[in-house]
Amino acid sequence: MTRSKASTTFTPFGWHGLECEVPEAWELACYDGAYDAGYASLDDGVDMRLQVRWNRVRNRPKLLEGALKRYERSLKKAAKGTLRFEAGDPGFVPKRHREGRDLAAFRWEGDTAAEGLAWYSHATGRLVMVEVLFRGRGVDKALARRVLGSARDHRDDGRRLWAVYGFAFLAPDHYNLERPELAPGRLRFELRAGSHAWLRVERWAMASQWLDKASIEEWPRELVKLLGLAPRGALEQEEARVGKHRACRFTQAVGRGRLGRRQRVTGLVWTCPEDDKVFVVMAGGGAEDLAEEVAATIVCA
Amino acid sequence: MLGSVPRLNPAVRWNELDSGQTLVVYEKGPFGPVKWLRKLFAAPEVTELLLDELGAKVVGQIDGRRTVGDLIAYVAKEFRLSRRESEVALLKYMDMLGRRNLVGFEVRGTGEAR
Repeated sequence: MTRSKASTTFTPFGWHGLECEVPEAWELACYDGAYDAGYASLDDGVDMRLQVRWNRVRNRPKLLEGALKRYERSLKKAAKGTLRFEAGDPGFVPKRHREGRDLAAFRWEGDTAAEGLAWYSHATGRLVMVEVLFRGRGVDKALARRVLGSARDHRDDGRRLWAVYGFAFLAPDHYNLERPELAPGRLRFELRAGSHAWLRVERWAMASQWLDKASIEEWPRELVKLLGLAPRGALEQEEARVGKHRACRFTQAVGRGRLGRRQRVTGLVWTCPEDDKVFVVMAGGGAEDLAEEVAATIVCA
Repeated sequence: MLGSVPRLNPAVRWNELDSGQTLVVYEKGPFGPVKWLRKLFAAPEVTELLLDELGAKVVGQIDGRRTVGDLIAYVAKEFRLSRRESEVALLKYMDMLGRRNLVGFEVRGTGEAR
């Protein structure tokens, strides 16, 4: 988390490889799609503040220009011609974020105003459009540039940042989000790589309430049950540490049906009393130490 | 909705229990054929709802002054949830209380209760 000159606290937002820094009050409001194509928007509790669209396309001449023209046409059609759209200068984007991208900045003004950045990423083959929206208020160029300047659609370390609602972790970039369950009090990310390898990362709020019902040592058995896979053999549990917290590391062989493929599920569960949260990372069918690796990237209070 | 002020139905009995839970005792809706059937089968006119500790804490914050927005902020702070998580949870909870006529909502500025 970083603080701007105007003392706005910024926090990372990460979704399907796209990441940027946004004011802490902006939270994910809407999402759709997957890694190849999708949409996400963030609001500040009242107005929509950020929109991100992405689409995997084959690069061709004037791809970016064409996409912006089409977008301009659709905006003007929706606004019945009362909208001003103009190209901007993407020079505010830091040099390190410009490499490997064809960039274009734009802005438009109608009932709502927006400062936007679009790019084609040669590394991911995705066309991305990010907009910071200002409704009924003046355009804060510095804020827009701060957010847009931090936007990128992949990292160079082979991992993807997933960051919403104050919860963030890094997962290998070949794991795609299969099913997010972002329910109040419980965030669950189910990621999959290929047909066998999977990763599940969870954050449970109100930990003290949950731990009154079952101690952290009792969680692994319940978590394995919730996977819906038949356990084979005994559940192995041992004490571990994640950051400054005592954790419970567990391993369980599981299989589906009599002839089903067997795999080893490894996981870590720990609690952060200061944050009143329980964190769970479980993995199967992939690298043995994946759960440990992912758990090490989760930061709590 | 966020600016409206929830008010507890005065016809409902809110019994705070030592366990931190709240036992809500209220009369079932008095309208339509359901009431007639209830009489026919001598079904009880009164029903009870047990609010858990968390639900009771939220109800305890309803004082006729705090808005739904204030309650969302309370839930976020008290249970260390993000704004969006507390918003979704609280609106769902208010909807449940509203459907049972346990809580009404006063829209500020008009003094109109719904």
